[in-house]
Order: sequence, then structure tokens, then C-alpha cells
Amino acid sequence: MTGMTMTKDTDKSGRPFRSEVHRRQRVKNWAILAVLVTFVVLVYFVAIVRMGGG
Amino acid sequence: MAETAYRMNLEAADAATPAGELRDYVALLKPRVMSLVVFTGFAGLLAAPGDLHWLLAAVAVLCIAVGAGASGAINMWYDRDIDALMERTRDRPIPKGRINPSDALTFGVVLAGGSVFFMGLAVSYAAAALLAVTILFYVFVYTMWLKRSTPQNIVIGGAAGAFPPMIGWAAVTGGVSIESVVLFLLIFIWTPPHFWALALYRCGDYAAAGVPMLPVVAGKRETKRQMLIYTLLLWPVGVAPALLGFAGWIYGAAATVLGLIFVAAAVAVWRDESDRSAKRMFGYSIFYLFALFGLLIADRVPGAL
Repeated sequence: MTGMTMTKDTDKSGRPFRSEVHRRQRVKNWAILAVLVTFVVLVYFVAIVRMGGG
Repeated sequence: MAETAYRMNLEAADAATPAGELRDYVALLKPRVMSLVVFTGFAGLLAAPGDLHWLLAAVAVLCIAVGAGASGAINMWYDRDIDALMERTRDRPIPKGRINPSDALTFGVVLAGGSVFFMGLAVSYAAAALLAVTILFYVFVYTMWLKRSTPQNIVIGGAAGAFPPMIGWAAVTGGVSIESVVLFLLIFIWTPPHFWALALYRCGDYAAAGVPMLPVVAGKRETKRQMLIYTLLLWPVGVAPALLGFAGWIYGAAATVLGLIFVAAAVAVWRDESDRSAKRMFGYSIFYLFALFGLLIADRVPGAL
């Protein structure tokens, strides 16, 4: 069963076949990445401001 | 054949796993409530004497927004049983089965902790402490204790919604003062007539869910009487920022007129046996608060007033 899913997870045009769960998970992963990157950038600039006596 | 079986497995997994769309997670944050919280928090920040770097001010508003949203998510996790029974709330992501209750709880707790932590590190410990009190009050005192046990639920629970301008004020000044207490009182006293106006025309919903809202427990007449008392109390509190000197005379004049209209709306609700006036008053109550805090903000923008 596992081997089958490894070889047959593309649709007829060769694109990877994704279920609804996969699609939603992917969207959420990207959203979490965006939030984390924003948070890191924010912490960086807040640190600059605070160290500057702000 | 194999591909069909694979797809069927995936479809079965889809049905069994409420993974939730991104928009379901946004809905957990109660964005409409959040907009009012952000607005009043921002007003408190601007009304406070002193300067705060614009980036730190933006972080303060962000933390207030995320903290409020997180409380909303935890509230939806706890209230999922009664949310499923009420028309107003049955389309929320948890009763609809789009998000796992435990996912919602984790989401809320992580955001709540993160917002308090970041507020403390970036802005001020006083603001972080007030934000923590707000979240804990909303979750434990209002949601878990008062909401299902007393018709005074939203009177005391209203404190949670009244903290944001105080948090904004504390972000700038690092503390609490009489002015920020007045801003707190403004929302605190505004909350009962605002919510009871809604409860008057939704009381069937609350009764079905077993939530002891005032119109369900004490009847419509008593609710209308108390709404009128609160709007009368609110009138001078609305004008107080001008009397205390941290808002200008234009604010004072507008607050006097807007407060009078609010009292008139409560009188109209008192006289009206149908739900029409209550619906109108609910809409007006939102306008009233936006207008007062909008005027407070405009008062601080040079040249605006």
C-alpha cells in the first residue's frame, strides 16, 4: 500500500496529486512560515529601537 | 485501480481530519471583536501623555490584537457545546467541525502566551501584566465562571473588553492613572446596554443554550430598565475625558450629544414592545463607542480638531 502511494501520487498530467487535507496543510505551513519570518524581523527591529534608548 | 484506491484513502482522510482552512483560524480570533479592541487600545495609546517610538506603539497594538484574538479562540474552544445550539454562533469553525477543539485551544494558548511575552519584552511590563490580566479575566472569570452562572455575566465580564485602552495607556506611561481608569469605565459601563440590546432580540437563542442572559432570567421589562440606568450612568462618564482635561471641548460637546442620543435610544427601547428599537440601539451602541474613541484619537492628531 505504501509503495503504491509512492508511485501513484501524480495525476494524469503528471502533477503531484494532493488531497484536500494536503492542500490545506500546505497553505497553513506557508502561513506559519510567513508569521515566523515577520516575527523574527519584528524582534530584530524592536531590539535595534530598544538598544537605541527608544 | 491503485490510483483510485489511493484517492479514496485520501478522501476518507479528508473526511476524518478537520484540518481547517486558514480562514477558519482567522474566524477563531473573532476579527470583528478584535477590530473594536484594536481601535480602543490605539486610542488609549494616543490619548496617553508621553512619547512611544512608532514601532513599539505598533507592536503594542499588535500584541493587544493577538491577545484579544487568542482569548476569543479559547472562548470558542470552551463554549463549543453552547455555540452549536445558538443560531448566531453555530457557524463557528468548531461546532461546524472544521477545526479540532484541541487545535483551537493550542492555537489560543500559544498566541496568548506569545502576545504577553512579546509585550513585556518589547514595550513595558505594566502593559504586559494588564494584557495577561485581560486574557485571564476573559477566559477564567467570564467564559468559564460567570457566563453560564449569572445574569450579571456581561456586566462583570465586560471588564475584559474595557482593559484595552488601559493597556494602550500603560504602554506609553508604564502605569495606571485616573485618566486610563476613566477610559476603562467608559467601555465597562457601555457594555451592559450594548449586549442587552442584542440579548433582547436574541433571547430565544440564549434560552435554548441555557445561558442566563438578563432578558431570559429577569424578563425584557427589567432588562430595559437596567439598560436605561446604564446609559444614564454612561452619559457623564463619556464626557469625563473633557472634564479631566485630556480631551478637548469638541470631544466634550460631541460626547454630550452622543450620550444623550444613547439615552434616547434606551427610552425608545423601553417604550417599544417589538425588537425594532433594540436592534437600532445595538447598532447605535457600536457607532457611539467608535465615535467617542475616534474623537479621542482625532484630538491627538495635530490640526485634526
